[in-house]
Amino acid sequence: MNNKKIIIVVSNAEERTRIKRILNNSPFVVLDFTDSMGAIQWIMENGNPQLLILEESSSPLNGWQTMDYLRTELKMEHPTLIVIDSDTEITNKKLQGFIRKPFSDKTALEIENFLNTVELKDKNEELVKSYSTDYLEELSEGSKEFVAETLVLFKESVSGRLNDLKIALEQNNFDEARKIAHSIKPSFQMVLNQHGRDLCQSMETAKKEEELNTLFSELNQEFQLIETQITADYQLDIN
Amino acid sequence: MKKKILVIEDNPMVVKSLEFKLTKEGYEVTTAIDGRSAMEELETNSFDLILTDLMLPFVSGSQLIEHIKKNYPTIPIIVLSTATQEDIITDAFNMGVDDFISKPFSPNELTLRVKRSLGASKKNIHS
Repeated sequence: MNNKKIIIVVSNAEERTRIKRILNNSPFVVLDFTDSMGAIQWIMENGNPQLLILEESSSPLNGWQTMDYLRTELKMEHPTLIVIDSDTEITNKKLQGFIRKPFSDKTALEIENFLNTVELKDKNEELVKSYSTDYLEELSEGSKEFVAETLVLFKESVSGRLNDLKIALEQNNFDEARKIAHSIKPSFQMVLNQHGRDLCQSMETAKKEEELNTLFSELNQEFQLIETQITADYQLDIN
Repeated sequence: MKKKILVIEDNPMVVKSLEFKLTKEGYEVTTAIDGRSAMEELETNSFDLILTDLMLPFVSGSQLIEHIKKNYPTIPIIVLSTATQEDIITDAFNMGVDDFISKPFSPNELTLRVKRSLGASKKNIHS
């Protein structure tokens, strides 16, 4: 359960009590330390907490030094918030996030938002790539322009054909649906999406109406996944 | 003079890829997205090679091949197919197509097969 802990390093007892009280209703166990060395010691012995909240002016190592020490010396990466005074200007590029004193109910919201952002980022990084440009690069001998244009074409053409496919299914025109699936199969193959290719293949040979509808729904989801990733990777906007 | 190739295919990604690769190889490429417009192209232009899909809108691949073989018997045809169309490919060969390439095509394979078909066609004309 180490990953459900928040470590706080705040030297002033009153401020420490206040932030602990604010986080009292959170789903985390809050461990507080008066100095950075105590926090480092705890992490070395117990592993990664979910979040580190380090006072910028902590001692013996200040907030930045503590963060650097954990990352570079101990090779431990944690989501880290630096606590700064209300009038401190933020210029440090290494800053992941910060909260300002004095602590208030707003602080809890800031911490929650920060953790949500970190979680979302982690999830995105964990997502397996649903497409690859390897084939298009090989074909075009590395033409970035060709790859980008073809990805736009993938989004536009497959989206349109999926719409046709939906209409064909709604009209019980299953032969047409199978033809469309056949026609878009190479598009999924060209972006090296095996799942999309397999779904098209299954649609071509599916005999039952319900089967076709289920396969279509899955194919549509797969397409949307690829589309989202292409848009994120290439900042493409076809609308 | 550049060799002229007619590509008949309804998947725009495949069309774009073929167009890109063949143009880069020095060929002049014309595209048609269905059998009907392919027939119109054949009526107004001359081609050295045809690359065609078998499942096309309006006019089927078989009908199209039959039309080409009857009206333009010297133009070699390479069929663009998917790996699961064995029966259709066999039928196409029986109708006289020269070769086939699986979609999505291997770039090197495309180059070789196009060269081979164009070479064979030249030989046939001279013999």
